[in-house]
Amino acid sequence: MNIEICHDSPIPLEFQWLTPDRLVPLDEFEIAKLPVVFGNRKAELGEFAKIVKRDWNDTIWFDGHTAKVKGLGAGMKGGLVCVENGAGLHAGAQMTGGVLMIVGDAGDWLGAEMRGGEIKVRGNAGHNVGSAYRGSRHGMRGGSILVKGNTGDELGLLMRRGSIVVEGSIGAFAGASMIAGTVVAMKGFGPRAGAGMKRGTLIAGGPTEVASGFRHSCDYEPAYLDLLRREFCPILPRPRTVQCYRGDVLTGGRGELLVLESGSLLDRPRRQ
Amino acid sequence: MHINGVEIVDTFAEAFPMTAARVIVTACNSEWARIGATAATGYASSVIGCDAEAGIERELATEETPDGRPGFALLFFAFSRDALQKALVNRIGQCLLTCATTAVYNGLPGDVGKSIRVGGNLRYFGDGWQISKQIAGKRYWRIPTMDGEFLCEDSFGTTKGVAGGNIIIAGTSQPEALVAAEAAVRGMRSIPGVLLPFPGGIVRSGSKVGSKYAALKASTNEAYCPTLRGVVKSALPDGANAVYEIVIDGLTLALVEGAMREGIVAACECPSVLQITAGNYGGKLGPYHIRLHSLFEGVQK
Repeated sequence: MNIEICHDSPIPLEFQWLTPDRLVPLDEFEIAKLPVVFGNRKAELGEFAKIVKRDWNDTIWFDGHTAKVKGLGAGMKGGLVCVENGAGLHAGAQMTGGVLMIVGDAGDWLGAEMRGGEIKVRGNAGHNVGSAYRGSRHGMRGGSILVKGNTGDELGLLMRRGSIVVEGSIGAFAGASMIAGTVVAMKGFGPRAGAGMKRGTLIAGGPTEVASGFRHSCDYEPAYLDLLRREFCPILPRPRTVQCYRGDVLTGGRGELLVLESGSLLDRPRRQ
Repeated sequence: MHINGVEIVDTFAEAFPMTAARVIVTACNSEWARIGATAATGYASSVIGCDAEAGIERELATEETPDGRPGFALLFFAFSRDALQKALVNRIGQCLLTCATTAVYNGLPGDVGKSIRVGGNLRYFGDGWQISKQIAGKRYWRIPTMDGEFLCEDSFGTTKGVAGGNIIIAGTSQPEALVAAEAAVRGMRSIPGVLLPFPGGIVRSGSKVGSKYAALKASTNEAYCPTLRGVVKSALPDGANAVYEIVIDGLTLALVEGAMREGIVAACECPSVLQITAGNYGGKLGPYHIRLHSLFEGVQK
């Protein structure tokens, strides 16, 4: 199924759960009648998109002016959603299964509160990737997110489970208040990574500023990283030893920051 | 029936079902992986007196292990899933958790819904500092240790395997019978999924069920003891002065049969082997009756 977004406007277009499981049983006419939100008014999908349904499989291709469309792939339970020209806010948010592939950049709240499935972004992503929405207790609770480019701040905020791999750089407060899960930053983390984290693992493939709530524990060779490299993240560097930091000590110190690059940018253990 | 002039007795080996698991142990180098593997599979020759039958299946190349380090595949057999779980938790906890740099993984997908929790039980050793990680749909536990951490998979698959396959090799002398048994072991060990649980894969103390002593479940099989020929009803062929038995456990009946076939062929190529037979209990012990002659014709259950 191909949905081409023909409308190019600074006013955002918001999709509400246009997921493969909902669209597969419908024909083109029924899909065109599905509600969307355009700015502050309700509308129908057919006003903004050209829908071509050649088959009945669970794959949706979004192309055209997709970069400002909110909620692409949000809430999907299975199937495959491919977005050709970037995605707006909330792409893949609260999805529980399936695969969302985004060619180009993704906006803020990519995979926010997702519980399963897989998101792959070939470009950059905005703030709050895999995060909890304001007021929620948990962020991402399962699945995996791979971002080829850079991401913004508060990645993995309140993350509870799952994995995020960012091949570029990450903004501030990645993994803040994290409860569990794994975040891999191939080029290192920005400031205050892991602030307030209770558990979970931050893996830095590059120079990283170690937050003040972290203590250097040891340098060692965890077999876990070999496993992670083989099963999930083959681009992870293979250093001789890994620097292990524990934190955030303000919240129990059961989280960990593993720095694969020799020498962190700034190691500031708080005075005992 | 004769192979290379060696008589193959028209009898059967009596095998029975046992629950099996495969454990993959890795370490920083092959030496430490071997030390761990040997320790974890020690004192595991027979369920008559051990909690499980266990042994090293084969050494694994680094490309074959989950973490890319040197490793070994181990096979464990026990009477039930509960018994197997208990044995694995104890053995991995005492012999691999304690062994420098090791990590332990499940090596068998196993039957659906028949997995056992191993890492999930060992994690408590971490005293709250253990870390759970889910990678590619599998859960692992990272337990802090004094050299870093011990990594163990949460659940291990199990399957209904077959235990008790066997062949008995009678030779003209002890050295020659042992050479033939060693050749048979080499042939059998070329088959993956097969375990020869006894030392070097060979048993010299073949047993029968029961004893004149009420407390014993098994005792020496005097019919195959050359030193007792003349005073008991001997099963030894004329000229035989030594007998060795090879016991075979396998993940499937076909694997046990294949190993027996390989072992018989290999043993028959050695000089001074007089006869090859098999041990059974009159068909009362196990449901699998592996006829030696059928091994060379087809499979018979």
